[in-house]
Amino acid sequence: MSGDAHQEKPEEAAGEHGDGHGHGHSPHLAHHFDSLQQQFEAGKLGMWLFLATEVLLFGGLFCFYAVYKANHPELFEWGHQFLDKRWGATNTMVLLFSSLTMALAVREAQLGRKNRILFFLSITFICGLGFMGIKYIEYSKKFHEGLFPGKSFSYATVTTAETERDLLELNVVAQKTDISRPLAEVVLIEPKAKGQVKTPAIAPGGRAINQDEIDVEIEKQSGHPEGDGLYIPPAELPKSARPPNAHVFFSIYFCLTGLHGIHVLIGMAVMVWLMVLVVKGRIGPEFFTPVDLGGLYWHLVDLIWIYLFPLLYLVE
Amino acid sequence: MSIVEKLLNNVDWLILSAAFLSLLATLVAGKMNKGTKDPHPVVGHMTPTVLMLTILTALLFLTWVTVGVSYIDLGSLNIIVAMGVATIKATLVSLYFMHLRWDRPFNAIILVGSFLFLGIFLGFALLDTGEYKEYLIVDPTILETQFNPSD
Repeated sequence: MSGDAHQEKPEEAAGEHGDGHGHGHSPHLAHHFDSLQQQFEAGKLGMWLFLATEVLLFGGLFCFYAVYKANHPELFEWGHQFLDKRWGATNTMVLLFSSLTMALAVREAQLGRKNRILFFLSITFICGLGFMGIKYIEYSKKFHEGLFPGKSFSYATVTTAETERDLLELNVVAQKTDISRPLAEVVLIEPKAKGQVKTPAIAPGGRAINQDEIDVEIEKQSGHPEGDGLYIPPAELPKSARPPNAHVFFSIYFCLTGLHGIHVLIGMAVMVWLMVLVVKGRIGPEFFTPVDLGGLYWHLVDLIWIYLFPLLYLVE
Repeated sequence: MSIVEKLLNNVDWLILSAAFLSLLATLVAGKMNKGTKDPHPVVGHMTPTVLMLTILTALLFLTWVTVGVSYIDLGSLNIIVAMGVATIKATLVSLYFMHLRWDRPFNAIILVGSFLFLGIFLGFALLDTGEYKEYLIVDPTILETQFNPSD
């Protein structure tokens, strides 16, 4: 975009278009536009059309999510417990902040303050880097737990963790049981609906054992992996039963966050390109379209994350 | 427990303090910029810094609300609240950060149009759910009883 604008000779740009604003002499004005304002608006319109296609690109994956959620809600109930909403919320903050710095970069570009544009662009870049860093932490945890998308999903690892959890639970119940008393029936009461008052189960010897109490103990005793193999700590397994198509949740998760992550990476590359343009002196109050359009792209990435975060991490 | 872990466990407070920090920045910037006026830009519209900081504050508060609500069980209301707040946030981002408020309305029409078509896409796809058997792989015993009645 800027390349063409620069080859333009000022005399040619001035041409016969009598621009009312008196900006006709700008070297930034390409000859096929009447005014800088028109040039700016045309660029923006093109970007918005591209952003619409981006919305529809993500739309396909959102459809995947919606249809699966409608048909198999239990899948999400189970799977979302593997996602760490604390990291998700942190990433939301990082991205929102980067949106602000990007908007400020556009503003500084309009004012033509080179150093400040570079400053805000690099902050935005660093935020993108931070976002991807957190994504790396989240993804590597999933990969260590064998929670791969699609066919590679390791059911064996989940089954091992479930067996381990059952064993631990038996052990804990045995430890908490007072065997000096006469035998009574062990009844474990699991809350059926949320919010239902839990009645303590009666263990041999008349001692009450809550499911919560057992969970705390399991968390304490839950071991750490010895080798490098795939391993899920039993305490981190969801409490609800595993649905038969568990791997599909991770297909959805990795497709949506993966495509979004690729967009963040592209956005970061755009930041670098913009910084080069600014250093070369191609950006000024008369021509800041690249910064503006890069900003629109970055905000769209933010916009999509605003929907992704509650849909994947928060909704049960 | 590491410090990161401790901070993460209180992520809702982290968001809230970020929101207050942003509010503070808004007030400070408002005081500093009092009386000064932005120069008229050559092209486009220039968004005031204070307005942008206000929007960030609102966005952070709304994030805190969604995270907070996710800890409370409201049944089917949870998803409605989450999507409602997300939509408010998206509107704020597109209106102010993406300049749609001052742009030609055609750009907004493109965005709203893309969401409209997305709605049609999702709506018709969802109309179709629940209309089929849950699992397409039919149990062989079912086939047997259907095609070779034992009696």
